Amino acid sequence: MESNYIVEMKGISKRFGSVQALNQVDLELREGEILGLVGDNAAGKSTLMKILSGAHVADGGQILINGEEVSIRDPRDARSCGIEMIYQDLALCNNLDVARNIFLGREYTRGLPFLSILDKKKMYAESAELLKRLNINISSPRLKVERMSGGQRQMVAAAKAIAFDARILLMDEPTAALGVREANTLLRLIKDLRDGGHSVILITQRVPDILAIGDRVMVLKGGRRQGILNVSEVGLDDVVELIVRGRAGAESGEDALEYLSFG
Amino acid sequence: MSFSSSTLASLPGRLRGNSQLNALGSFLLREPQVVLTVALVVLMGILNPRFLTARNLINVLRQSSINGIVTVGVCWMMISGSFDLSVGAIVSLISVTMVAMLEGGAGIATTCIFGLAIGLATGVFNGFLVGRLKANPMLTTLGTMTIFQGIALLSAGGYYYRVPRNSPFLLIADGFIGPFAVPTIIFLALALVMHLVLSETTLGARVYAIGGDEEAAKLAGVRVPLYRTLMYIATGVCSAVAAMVVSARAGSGHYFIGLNYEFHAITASVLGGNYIFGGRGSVARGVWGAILVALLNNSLTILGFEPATQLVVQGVVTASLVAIQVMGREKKTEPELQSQEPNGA
Repeated sequence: MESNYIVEMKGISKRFGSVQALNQVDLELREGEILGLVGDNAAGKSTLMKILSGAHVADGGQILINGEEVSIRDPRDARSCGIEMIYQDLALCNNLDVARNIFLGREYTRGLPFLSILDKKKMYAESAELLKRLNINISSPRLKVERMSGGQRQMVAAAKAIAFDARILLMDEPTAALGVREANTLLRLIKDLRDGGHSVILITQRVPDILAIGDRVMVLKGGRRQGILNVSEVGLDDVVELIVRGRAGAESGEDALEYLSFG
Repeated sequence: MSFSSSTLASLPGRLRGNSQLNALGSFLLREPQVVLTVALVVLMGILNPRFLTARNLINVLRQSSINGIVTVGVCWMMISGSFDLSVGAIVSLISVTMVAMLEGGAGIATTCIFGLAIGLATGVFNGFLVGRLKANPMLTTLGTMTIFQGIALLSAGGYYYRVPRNSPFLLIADGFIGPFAVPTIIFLALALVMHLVLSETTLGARVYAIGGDEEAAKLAGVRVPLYRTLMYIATGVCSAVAAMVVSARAGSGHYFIGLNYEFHAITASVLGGNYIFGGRGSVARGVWGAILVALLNNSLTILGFEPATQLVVQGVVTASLVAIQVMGREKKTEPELQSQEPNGA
């Protein structure tokens, strides 16, 4: 099958009890782009990404990576497809230090094949270098995550996702917990990653962020896809209108204005 | 171990103006077993010249070994953030089975392998329930404890089995290598191996992660059910080894020989400073705890207290130490969370 999409999700549905979180949602991610995923609370953004990262399993639908159908049943499957996700609640082990979190589940080892001895030296050295390369303000990879600020944790989570050069990065509101300066640092990092050939899906409530660094933006509402817009062709109003009123549109623009004032 | 200034500021009844003293106080509050160990050794050294002899201390090591062997497995379990209350029942079940086999004329190697196999099987069973089916570990192993205990009683019918007189099997308890008893050597060797596996291998890295945050570990691709099952296999196999030693020591096997072992092992692990809710600690701490329990009982014996009094003292000490540890940890974690912002600037 001919395709220039690195990820395609087709007809994805997911139900939690009586709530239809996702209803026949399609998503296409191009290689080397930043795709914004926006929508109100409970629009299904996080659920859709968690299905791609293996944290949830869809009730129905297909996932294609580079045009080939794959089965993603757990985070390990996603990882083997080159997918990494930064979760909103960060999913770090607070009792462990930075390096141990970064390498959790794929530690460097040496020695015998049936006895995986940790190569701690290599892990700490690479973690230190990663922190330096990403310009992260953490003095040592031996620092425990429980001693860190929200911004520092966010950067550790980012470093953990980036460390293994995943081709597809999913980020769930990575700037939400950050101050303005930290958020800008992270947005620049995401842009650099895109320029380096990574494909990124960025969930955010801050539509202006997407308009600043994104290539396209996809809008979800009530578990349904409302549309994908090219960032270069639209303004904030267009996106917000789609978020608030959906594809069907409505007569009055009041709701959209209200949303903008929160923006 | 490092101390941040905020940790010190939060010391209860803070000793103003002397930060080193504060640091020491904070440390002792978190590690109360240090005080107990030092106090016990100094006090007993003064009170009774017999206490600090090599002979007595080697004896203490020997007395600690059966509980120590169970404790080593329980340490892994505790660090993974889970519980196995069935270890005592597993010891009883294996003791009955092994000694019955020996009485029936089975070879020692066959018997021991069979004992280890039962330990493995009980671990797989517990691991399946808790790891795969995600049943509550406390209630599940309370249930399996009853099952294993029941099977032991059923197969023994309430009778004692006797290890045949002069069987080399008895050397597991009575033998010596140099000045050290075989149980001591088994205990320390097992502890060393299990300590190194936990601190130096991927298994250890993942066990600490699961104990800290199971969900985060899962999202990082750790196969949580597999590692949970491995923890139960570890406690099962350690219980099997303990069953060998205790059967050889008693020269018999009976259905309640492992009574309260789960309690003693959890006590030892916590006394050594392992965190009861997982994510931190080490096997070495469990070894320290097991030796500390034996040291305490040995001191009370030397001072002429009866076993019943020993139990009471042991219970009081354990409860107090756990309370102090909890206090120390709460003081430790709260201010750190508050002090994050300044550090980031």
